[in-house]
Amino acid sequence: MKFLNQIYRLVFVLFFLFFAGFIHSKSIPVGMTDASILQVKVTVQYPHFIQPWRNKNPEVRQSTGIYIGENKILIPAQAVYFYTSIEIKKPDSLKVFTAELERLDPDLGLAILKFNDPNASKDLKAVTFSNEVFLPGTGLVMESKDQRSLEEKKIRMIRLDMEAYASGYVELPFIEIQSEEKLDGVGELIVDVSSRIPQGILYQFKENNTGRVIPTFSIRHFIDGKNFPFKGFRFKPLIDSATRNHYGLRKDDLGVLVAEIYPGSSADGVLQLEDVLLEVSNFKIDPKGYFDHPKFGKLNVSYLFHNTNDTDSSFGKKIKIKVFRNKKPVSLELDLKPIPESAIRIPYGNSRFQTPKYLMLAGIIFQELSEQYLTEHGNQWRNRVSKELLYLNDFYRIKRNSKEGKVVFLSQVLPLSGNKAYHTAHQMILKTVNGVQVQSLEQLQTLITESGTPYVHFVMTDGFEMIFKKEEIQSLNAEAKQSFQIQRDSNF
Amino acid sequence: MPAISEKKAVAPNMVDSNKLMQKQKKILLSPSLFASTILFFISLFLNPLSAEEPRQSIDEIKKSVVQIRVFSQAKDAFSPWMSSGISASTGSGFLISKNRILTNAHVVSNAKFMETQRNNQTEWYELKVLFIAHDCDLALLEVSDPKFYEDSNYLELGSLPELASPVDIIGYPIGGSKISVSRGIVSRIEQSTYAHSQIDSHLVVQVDAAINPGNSGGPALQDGKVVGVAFQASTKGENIGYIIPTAVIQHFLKDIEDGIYHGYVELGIQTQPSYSESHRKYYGIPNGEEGVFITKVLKAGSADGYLKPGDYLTAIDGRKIGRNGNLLETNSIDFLEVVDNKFAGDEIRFDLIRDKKKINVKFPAKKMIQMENQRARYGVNYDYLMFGGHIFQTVNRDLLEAWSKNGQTQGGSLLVYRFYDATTLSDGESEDVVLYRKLPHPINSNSDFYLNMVVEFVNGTKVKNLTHLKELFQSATDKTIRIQFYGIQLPMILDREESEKADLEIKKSYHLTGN
Repeated sequence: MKFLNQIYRLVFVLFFLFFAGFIHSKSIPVGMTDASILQVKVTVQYPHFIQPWRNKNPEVRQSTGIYIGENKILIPAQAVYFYTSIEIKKPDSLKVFTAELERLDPDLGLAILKFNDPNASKDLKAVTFSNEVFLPGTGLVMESKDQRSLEEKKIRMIRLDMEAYASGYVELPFIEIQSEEKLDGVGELIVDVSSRIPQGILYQFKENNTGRVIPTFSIRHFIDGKNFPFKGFRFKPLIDSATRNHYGLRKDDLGVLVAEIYPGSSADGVLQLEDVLLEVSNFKIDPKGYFDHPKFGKLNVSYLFHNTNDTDSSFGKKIKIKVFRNKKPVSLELDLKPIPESAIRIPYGNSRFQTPKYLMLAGIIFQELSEQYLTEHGNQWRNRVSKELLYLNDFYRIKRNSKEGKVVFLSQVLPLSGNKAYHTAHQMILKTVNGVQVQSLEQLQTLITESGTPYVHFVMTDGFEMIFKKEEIQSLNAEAKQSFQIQRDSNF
Repeated sequence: MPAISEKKAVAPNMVDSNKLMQKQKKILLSPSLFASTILFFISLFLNPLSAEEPRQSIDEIKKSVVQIRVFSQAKDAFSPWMSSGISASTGSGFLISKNRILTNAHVVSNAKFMETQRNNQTEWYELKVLFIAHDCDLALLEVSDPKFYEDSNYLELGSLPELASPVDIIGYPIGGSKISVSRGIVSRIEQSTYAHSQIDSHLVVQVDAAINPGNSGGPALQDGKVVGVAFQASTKGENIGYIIPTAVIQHFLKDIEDGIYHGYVELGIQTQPSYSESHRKYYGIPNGEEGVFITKVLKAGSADGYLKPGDYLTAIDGRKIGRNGNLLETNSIDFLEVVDNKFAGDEIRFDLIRDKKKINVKFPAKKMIQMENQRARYGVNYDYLMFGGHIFQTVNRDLLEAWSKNGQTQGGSLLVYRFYDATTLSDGESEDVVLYRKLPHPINSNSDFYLNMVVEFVNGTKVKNLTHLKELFQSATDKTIRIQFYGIQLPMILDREESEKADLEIKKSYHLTGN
């Protein structure tokens, strides 16, 4: 009898757990009159990448916020980078609430805000995101415009595809949409037209009437506080017969070539350059890098590593891989890890909340190369910047081995009489200081502070040299700070 | 993305004067301007050029200045098997001996047919080029018909004009058939880039007179003697023209004395000023010793093997160098000007401080071969190689300019970087070869990834130049050819036999002839 009781108890617990899980992932429709869509006004102040001791003028960004319960609001990450103030307005209310950033994922491009006032979420109805994606299908965009009530516009959800988002390095799934209406793509909620079940969040809309939606399963994964895995390699299609023959491939319908491996990543130590990737998780990979997904059709192989859809998620699992290496088939297993930020040599795309670092020495500004630094030179930036920096940015964004350092360069000389010999120097790559190769600003700072020699000797990659007495560096810095109103010698 | 964004202080005044003629007509139709132009010419011809100094009369000068008409056709660097259209242009020149005409190289570059005429002549006489020097934008021409020289005169070379002294620019600007004289004042004398080759830098004299298309090659006169050849105008300021001074002309004339033009020598170093006391103390430079530090010695330049980075140059040929790099005696002329006046084989002497010791170093001056691809070139056939419809060519300025005009710049930062830093990257022996375009064919439909990349290895052998690449392709016996490019980890794989077969079809379809 006692045993039977235990069984009942177990069944009950299992039933409860199943039901709780069901509730958790259950699709709840969002009504037109539901108080779930909020207006968010964020004031942001971006750093100045060319003069990194300064900030730019504040700007205001409007976006849509979606209430997800527990005083939390979901908004696009783009809206809150470098925020100074966040104001939130509820529907049909004139009162403005403030909030703070709780969490952000630059790869997915979403952020969670939390109301400062614990009572602010009163009357709000939480939106839940499940795994359900109805493709292809018709959807509604729910947006809340300034001082107006909620509006709904129709869209067509076309297909699921993979690509890196605006500030992301990891290719993640997105739903491609079309609409005849004018949309903003600033975090509007998308629901299915008939069931009104949430389908995702609109994060981009272009003038050609197409847009992109973050699918619900990725949103749920983020809300649950989980990381996004990264496969850790790049591949190149393998569609010409000469190359296929060279690598010993007999069939012409399988395989892509591993072209780049990120040090410290999931693929590091597992895959090798010039491996031909034939199968991932028992799915055959075609020569363009696609596989056949039973529901979504042809999908990029990255999906098999990066997706977070419960039904076929590989998150937390070992991934089975079959490659053709040195003309022989090899079976491998790969543990998925998030992107190793340490593998990124030159940050590209948006800043992902990274303030540009600088170190001033003798009134001379040193920085680490980032694409953002280069793009701040205006529309014609590719013509304006140093050709060597441009080349490095195009070809060496990712480390080729873990020993490679950052590109430290002299961005400008703040003109003082004590450094006048070097006033013309700008955009030069720093090679050594006192004979030691420079790999980062932190290391450069340490080299200077710990230098035991009376002189500090800088050598640039083109042979240009700068030499200061150690004590000159501090005095010239003090003069530069006073003269050019710079607060600090460094910002890290 | 235009690949070439180099700042140009000056631009050549070449060809196509039609637009400017129209503009000039409009200006002349304006009554006040017309009157002032007439008055200017009346005053010019009534008044002597210089009241005090002996000089040739304007009639004598007119006898020595010629108009040159050129029909030219260039090769297209982007499609090196094709020639561009035929264009007509005019320029000026002048007699510097009984039967030799001096003009600018850019006036007669790419010429297929040239003719000339002197003032008051009715017939045009056929011209031929005896010597052409693209690096200093000068050319020496000759007319074979003796009738052309009847009742002619020639001009003598003078010296460097003084600052603020007047010079008269004589020529046939903006397409007019009548001789024109304009007066300007010498406003600056400096080393500057010659726009014709875009890389060479020699002495120029800046004058505040307009130098218009057609003026090019005409003499600049002072006291009846030639003080320069009009050759380019400023693109920035109005009414700023440049003339090639006689020192450069004489260098050219001396160079051709043995019947060959050899060209300028290059020292092949990079320097930086020595304003910093700490910098000087670090290298143990005695107080009061002026000079410049060497930062880089380029491979295969004159100084290669003789000078070192960190050397402190204090004097060249016994002439002291200032801490800004100018000769102390004038403080306005760069010490490199001394090298500029030398010829291959001439000795260059430096006093320098190396490892805190004063030493003397001497070595012969020589040309730097790797400069050739940095220079805009004229009248040449561009060598190229096609393999599997992929077109390879030596990285050179003409190709880069043609490439950027064609908008083929995607992913080309490697090419641009290696071109602009070629003198420092080059080992002095090898040349970069680029896969810069393809003629589409099914065999190369997947090779876009490698466009604009510079070849490093073929089947594991480092490629030295285009000829070497051709040899490597020809001598290959394996089924596949593996090409590796700078900065790219994955090689491009080509099937040798299939590529050769495709090339025959491509040549036919795209009308490739030659090579």
